[in-house]
Formats: sequence, C-alpha cells, structure tokens
Amino acid sequence: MANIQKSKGVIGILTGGGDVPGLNPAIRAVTIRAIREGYTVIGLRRGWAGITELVRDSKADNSLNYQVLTEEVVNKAGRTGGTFLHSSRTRPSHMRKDDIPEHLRNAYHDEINDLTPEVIKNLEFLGIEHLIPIGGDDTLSYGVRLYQEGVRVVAIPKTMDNDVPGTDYCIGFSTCVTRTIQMTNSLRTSAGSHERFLVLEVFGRYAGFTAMLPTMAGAANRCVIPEHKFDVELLTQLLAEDRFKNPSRYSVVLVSEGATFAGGEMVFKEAELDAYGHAKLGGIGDMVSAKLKELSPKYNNGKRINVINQKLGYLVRGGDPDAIDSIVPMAYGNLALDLILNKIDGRLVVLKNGRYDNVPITVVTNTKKFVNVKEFYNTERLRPYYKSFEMKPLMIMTSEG
Amino acid sequence: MKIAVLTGGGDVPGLNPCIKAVVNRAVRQGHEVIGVRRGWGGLLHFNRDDPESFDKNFIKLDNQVVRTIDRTGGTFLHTSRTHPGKVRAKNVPPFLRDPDHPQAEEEDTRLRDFTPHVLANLEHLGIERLIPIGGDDTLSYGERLHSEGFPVIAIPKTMDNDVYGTDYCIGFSTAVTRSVLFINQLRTSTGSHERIAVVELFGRNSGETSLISAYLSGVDRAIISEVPFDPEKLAELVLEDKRTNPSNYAMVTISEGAHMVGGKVVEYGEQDAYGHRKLGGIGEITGEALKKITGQNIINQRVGYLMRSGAPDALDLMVAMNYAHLAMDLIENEVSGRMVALRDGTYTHIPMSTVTSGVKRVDVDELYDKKAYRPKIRHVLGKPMFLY
Repeated sequence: MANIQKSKGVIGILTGGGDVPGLNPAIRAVTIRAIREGYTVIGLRRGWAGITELVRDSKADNSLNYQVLTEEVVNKAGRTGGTFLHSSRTRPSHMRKDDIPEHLRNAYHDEINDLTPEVIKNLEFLGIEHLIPIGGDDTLSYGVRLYQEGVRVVAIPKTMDNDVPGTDYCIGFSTCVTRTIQMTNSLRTSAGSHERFLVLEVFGRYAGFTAMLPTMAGAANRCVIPEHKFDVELLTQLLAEDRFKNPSRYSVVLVSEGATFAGGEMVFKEAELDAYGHAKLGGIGDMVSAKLKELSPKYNNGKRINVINQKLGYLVRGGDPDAIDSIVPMAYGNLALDLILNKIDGRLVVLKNGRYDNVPITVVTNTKKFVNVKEFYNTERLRPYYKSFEMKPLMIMTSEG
Repeated sequence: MKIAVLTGGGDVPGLNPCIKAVVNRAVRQGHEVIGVRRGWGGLLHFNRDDPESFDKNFIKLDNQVVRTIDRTGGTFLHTSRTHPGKVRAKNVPPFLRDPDHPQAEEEDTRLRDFTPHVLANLEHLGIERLIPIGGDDTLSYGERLHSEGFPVIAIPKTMDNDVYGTDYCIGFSTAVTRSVLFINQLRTSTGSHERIAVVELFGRNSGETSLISAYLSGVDRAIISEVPFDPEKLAELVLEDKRTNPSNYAMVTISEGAHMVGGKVVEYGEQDAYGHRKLGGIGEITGEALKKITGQNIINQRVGYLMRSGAPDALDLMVAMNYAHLAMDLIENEVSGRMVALRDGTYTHIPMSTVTSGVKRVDVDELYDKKAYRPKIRHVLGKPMFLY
C-alpha cells in the first residue's frame, strides 16, 4: 500500500444487507469523485464482514476482506445490478460465537460478542479516515455505532423497501417499482385469458411502499399493506367487483409480504432470526389466494373464481438499475464526497421533500418509516388515495414532511 | 364455409397471433370465422334455446376484431380446462341438468359425456370445420370429435413443449426466452450474497424448459423431471461450482415435476377435468435440502407464471402464424383429422390420434448428463433448431 501514504486520505466504502440495483453505480460515483479529489478508495467486502474479519498482518491474504478500487474496476461494474463488493447481514457488535473469525476466537468466546474494538483497529490498520456504508437501517445502525465511537461516517441509504427513516428515497426502490409494474402488466394476459384474480406478493418487509406506488401507477386494482390490517372479505368483494367491471374479466391485487389479515399475525417463513433480530417474511400471498378462492362464490353468483398466484420475490431486484437508480446513486455518492471535503461527518445523505440534503445519521436508529395510512391509504377501498398531489415530491407518499 | 377456432388449457404467448392469422387468411378466402370462448367451455355452455347465449359463448371474428390482438400474449378468446366428454355434476350447465335433480351435489363425482350436445351445437351454428389450439388435454377432446365424424384440424401449443408428435408447440420459445432473462437477472442478487440460487420452472412432467433454459443461460446445473436426483450429489456439485466462480455463487434450474431419488413429484390442489393436479414446490424443498447439506444460504425463486407472461417472442410469432396458415392450407385441401406440426425441423401434419398415442419427454441419453446434472449437447450436425 505504498501509494496510500501519498494520497489526501483513504475512504472506505461498503454495501450491507439485501442487494439492490444502484449499489454499483453508487460505488462507482464515490470512487471516481474521490480519486479525482486525490483520495484513495478501499472497497470493504461483504458488508461489515470484511472489516470485521480482516487480519492485521501485511503478509496475510485479505483479498476476501477488501480491495483497492480503481476507475477501471468501478467503470466495469458501475452499470450492473447487485454489488460487486458482495454483501452480508453481519453485525460486528452482535457476533455469535460460531461466526467469530478464526484468529479472534481466543479473545472472544461469549455467546454474543462485540467486535467493535477490532473493527476500529482494522480501520486504522488500513488507514481509513472516512467510512461510507451503503445500506438499509440495519446496516446503517452499525454505522451509527461506529460514529459514536469516533469514526468519521457518512452514510448512503438503500433498500428496495424504501423504509430508511429520514429520507424520501433509498437506492433500489425505483427499480423495484419499475419491475413490479412491468411484471404485473405482463401477467395480465395470463390472468385475463383465464378470467382469474391475479395475486402478486411483493417484498417490502414492514413497509407498504412497494405495493402502494405500483398500485398508484395503475398496475393493480387493490393493494394490501403491513400498515393496515385488512378484511379479506372486503378484499374479495372489491376484487370481484373490479373483475366484473373489467371486460376481460380479471382483477389484480398486490400483497405486501408483511400484510396481515384483520385479527391475524404476520406470516414468517423461517423461525430463525438474522443478526439484526429479523425473521424472513413471506407466505401471505398464498394465504390471500386461498381465502379469495374460498370466499369468491359469495360475490360471483355462487361460482368460484380461481387465482393466479405469483411471488415476484427476488425478481423485483434483479437486473440492471433503471434511470432513477442510476441518477440517485450518482448524486448520493457525490453528496457524500461533498460532505467529506467539507469535513462534515455523522450524516446520512438523503432526498428530503424532493431535494438532495443530509441529516444526522442517528435518524436511522431513532425512528421507523411507514406508509402514512391516514393520508395516503384508503382503508375502505384498499388502495391509495388519488388526491392532493399539489406540491408533493416526485414519489408522492415517501416524504415524511 | 364456417370455421370455428378455440384455445384451451393454459395460456401462452402466441395464441392471439395464431387466431389472427387464421381469421385473416380465412376471411380473404371467403370463409366465415367464429371464435369459441373459454376453450371447449363455449360449446358446452351454449344453449340453443337461449337467444342471449350466443354472445356469451362465441364471438364473430373479422379483420377488425383481430387487428390488434397479436401484440399481446394470452388469448383474447379466454380459455378453460373444460372437457365436454367428462363433466363433473357440479360443472354441468343449469340448462343441461336433470330436471328431477337440478341441484348438483358437491360429492357427486360421476362424469357425464355431453358430446352429443356439443355436436348438435356445432350443427346448429352451421360450423363445418373446427380448429382447436391447445395442449394434449385440449386436443384429446378434438380427437374425440374427429372420431365422431366432425372435421377437426388441431394446432399444438404448450409452454412445456410436451405435445407428442411435434417438435414444437406454440409458447415454448417465449417461456425459454423469459426464463433465460429472469435467470440472468437473478445473478446479481445471487452473486451479491454469494449464495446458491434454485430456480423452479414450469414444465409439468417434461424437463425440456429446465434443460433448454439451463443450456442457454449457462447455469451450473439443471434438474429435470425425467431424471430423479440425489440432493447430496447435487450439493457436492454446486459447492464446487460456487467455489470456482470468481463471484462465488452457483445457480440451478429445476423442473416443477422433478423429484429426488426415492422421492415423489410434489403436487397440490384438486384434480382438474383432465385428472391433473398442480405441480410445484420441489424447488423450495431442494433449496432447504441444499441449505442443510452445504450450510450455504439459498435464493429460492419460482419463475412460475412469469414464463408465459407478456408478448410472444419472434419465434412464437413465426410458428404461430405458420401453423395457422398450415391449418388453412389443409382446410383448403379438404383434409381433416390432422394436427399441424414441426418434425425434423420441417412444417408438416400428422394424424390427430398421434397426440394420445405417446408422451413427449426429454431424450435423456442424447441431451442430458445424468452424472453431472446438466445438459450434454453433442453431435449438433443434422439436428433441428431446437435440437430435437
């Protein structure tokens, strides 16, 4: 690392949590701008795992833990989806015994271990003075921790769920909406040919934005979201009406994976929790489909209405970023560099009421972001309200005001 | 002459362009075309004594009606899995019920044959030729009508490409095109998390969609319905694939009809009129097995209905339109009881009875490596475009 000493400083960058299209463009933007400004950029691999597992020995092979980024490397990856640095849900402050790296096993042997002291020493070892974590609220919550320990952190929000508090927009959301609209529309021919209900389960965790925005854009007749426990009888009735009014005799509902029946509980797929204490959601689409089938005769002259049931799943975050997820990462990356050049840290770069801005990074651990049901979701019609658009920012319902 | 056309079974992209080509050609030659709605359902549910019944079950087709239909997938005539030769008591149209027992009983599982009613309807409407477009189930009832003396020309479609007697069925190419697209889109997620992806594909008991999609997208392994697999062996192979991939991930396609050595095909739901239940779920089971054996995390995704979503690709437009013209050529030549087909890469036609005389499956010895669980493509010279 001979040339590192000569540079203006070293910036570390990492991506954590679920992959989304737009991460690679963000890494690209940060790297190119930083190099132009005279910095060296180190890509920390696999979320927080690389910097946790690093071996502080100049002779050790740390190629799985970090790589020095060049324009050539980031230009090649910068157009594609996912993250070429890889990702993980590793949380260094809560490391299970089995997940402790080999060389640290003697020092850490509790059931749950805080490896933050190692992380800080590792950052020093690499000469990293500024850290740019790109992630959702879980990944960034550990960024908050490091900031509180004195590390200079500027964070970039990403999630396809768009649920990071403090920002209108998280990288990956637009591509997710784009894919949802496109796939929903292309499934219409199947739903129409068979005159069925089309039930599509979409990722989104505890927030309903991924179901709301595509519905608003005309991809579905109705949507059910985690923020409002819905009456499946009402949903059946509405969808049967929608189907009857449609000359092609089908109707479409988007179901957030975190949606719940009135009186029901969230449907978890796996009992096992990840390092951040979250279980995998999923399965509500199957349950809604079964219920719709069962209740449909009541609203269709005694005849059952069949269902086409499809989980869009990982496909909403597959492939290359769309236009918004190419533009926003570029802006967020440069915004982060602006802050570093101005010697400001402890911030999260954001879009706030439609404009680029930055807020204290602690916002990610202080609040939660959900759909404002009262303002945007019509609980009687099970779909968004279509009113009061004036002066709303681009994504309408994603600003916290 | 009055020609009727209908689409039955699962929808696929290519049905609409096929209907359009039949209509335009027929109209040009001075024929009349009637579209039967909902597969064989329209002919079963048509009540000759009810003046409103015609519009519910048929639509007169002309150049204007079909002008824009070819731009979309699916079938604008709608479809069903109705089999007029085997109708369950609860599905009997009210006007055909026994006046002494008008209320169908749910547990009454007897099957009734309404073929005389269907033939009377065809005669009543003055229909002289029938073109059913469907898979082996839909076409098996076409063969029945043919054996009753009604002139039928069949057009094969299924995204599974499993109609016996033809190399190609409308919808297969788009299903493969979509599968390859989605598989490649899943690479970024799988790679980002350094996981093993298990992608389950429709295909019923034929492994062709898994085999050809795997071959074309270059995924590491393909599990097909025809060859039971050993999850331990598969785990060993994909771990090695993952290790040798610089992005540290591996991908497997799996037919919905696949099963483990000593295991069973995973089915769910109730039987349809043709006695089939839905398949699917083996991908998830395999994913769980791989996770247990390898300790690696898994991305499980069913491409499912997305394989047959959207507009037809170029090949499905091509074959759908050519099949339509071939069918019209046969009608012009006063030939019937035939199914149009592609054989050895050439358009041809075969007796309709061929459809029910065998089952079409992957030629495992020729195209699949049973030890490595992946396509084995050799000796391409002289093979037709889709390799068989």
